[in-house]
Amino acid sequence: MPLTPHILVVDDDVMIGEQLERLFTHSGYKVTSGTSFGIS
Amino acid sequence: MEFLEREDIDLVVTDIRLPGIDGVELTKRIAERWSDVPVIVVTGYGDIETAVEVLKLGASDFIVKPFSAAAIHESTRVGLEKASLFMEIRHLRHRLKESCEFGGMLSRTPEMHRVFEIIRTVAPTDSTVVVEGETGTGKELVASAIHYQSERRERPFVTINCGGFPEQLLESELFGYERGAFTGANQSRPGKIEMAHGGTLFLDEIENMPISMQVKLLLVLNNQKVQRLGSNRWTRVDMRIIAASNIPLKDLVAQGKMRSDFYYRVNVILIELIPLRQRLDDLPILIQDFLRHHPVAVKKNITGISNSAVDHLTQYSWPGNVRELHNVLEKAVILGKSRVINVSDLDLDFGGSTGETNANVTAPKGATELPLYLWIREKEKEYLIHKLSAYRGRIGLTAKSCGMEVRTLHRKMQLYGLDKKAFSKRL
Repeated sequence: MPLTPHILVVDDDVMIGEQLERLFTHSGYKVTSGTSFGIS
Repeated sequence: MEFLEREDIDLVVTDIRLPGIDGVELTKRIAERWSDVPVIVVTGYGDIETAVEVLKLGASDFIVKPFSAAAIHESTRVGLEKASLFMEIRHLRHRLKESCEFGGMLSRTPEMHRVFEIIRTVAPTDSTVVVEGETGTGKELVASAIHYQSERRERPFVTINCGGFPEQLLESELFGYERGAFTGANQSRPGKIEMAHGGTLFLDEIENMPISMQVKLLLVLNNQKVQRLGSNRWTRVDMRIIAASNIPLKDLVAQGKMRSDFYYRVNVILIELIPLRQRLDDLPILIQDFLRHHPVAVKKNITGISNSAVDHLTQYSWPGNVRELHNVLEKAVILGKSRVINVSDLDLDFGGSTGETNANVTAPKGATELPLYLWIREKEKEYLIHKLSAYRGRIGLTAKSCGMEVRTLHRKMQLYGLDKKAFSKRL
């Protein structure tokens, strides 16, 4: 089974965070995102 | 940081300016704790000095805003490629843990996996469970796993150590009391039974519960009502009981230390935990798990144990089981000087007392010349030879007669160089 890399995106700018999340998800990565290091 | 500890993160993309912990501090902490996880830092224009700082701290790349999708893709690809081996190891470790871990317990042995299966099966029911096992085998973990896998998980999991109180205090702890019920009862207080309403009451060391208390508890279990000391009012309780004992409950009944009606009321589902010496195959994963989580091991970057040290640990009888293993490892990581635990770091009492203090006891033959563990091994080998001969090398029958699993017998035969064929010829 191929590995799906898990990427953590942390950016307090929600728009940028969402853009990155979409970009990575579209590329087949598993993504968790948050606006600070107290991951939301 | 707990999130990174809990989840398998393979790459972090972070802004440099963050509320609370900023990207610089975050990079530093990740580089210290998870040096194999690449960090890509996203910075604003004019923040180049900070970007250089994070690169020095261990970030794999930095990208200046506004960024293009291609730049992000390339940076991610390079970061993941460099860390691909570590990523694979991390994922394999995660899968291994998933297959070995249950409710905070780790094991590869079929015996413990049967226990996990029983827990899964009984958790959704309200049946009373008895957990039997030596000290340090994880009885409370089993009880807690049952509770947290049950429908009662949102309600309290209340623990009481029946051996931790004198009889009268145990009674007031269990049943609660009204103000003025006895000297010093200045205010009313609910007991553990009431506190467990809707949830689970875990009676630890039930072997120490006095007979008189068994009668009172039996009444509560039968009527599902409790009365505080000094009160005439009955309160309805709905709780599940899980009891744990170091001694088999049927032995307590035979010894007259447990009432048979109480025994039959609580002993509905029995879960027996095997001691660590019967699951020595679990030592490597238990050790690795300890090293990955103990704060001193993490801080000192102690990540492994030498093969000779593992061999040394397998020769020990572990009377205190997993709890004792944790204590031995804790001492080793605190006092150890290298990144790998060695035999010299392990403080094991091979000559440990059996509790026998009679100075007039005659030493067994050969016992004075050998360390205790070697003498025990000699005796065990003799015993197995005798049993294998008696059953002509038939493994199943021999294992049953010895009261051990076939797998354990195989391992011991391998340890002592015994071949079943040699016994099948002895007619």
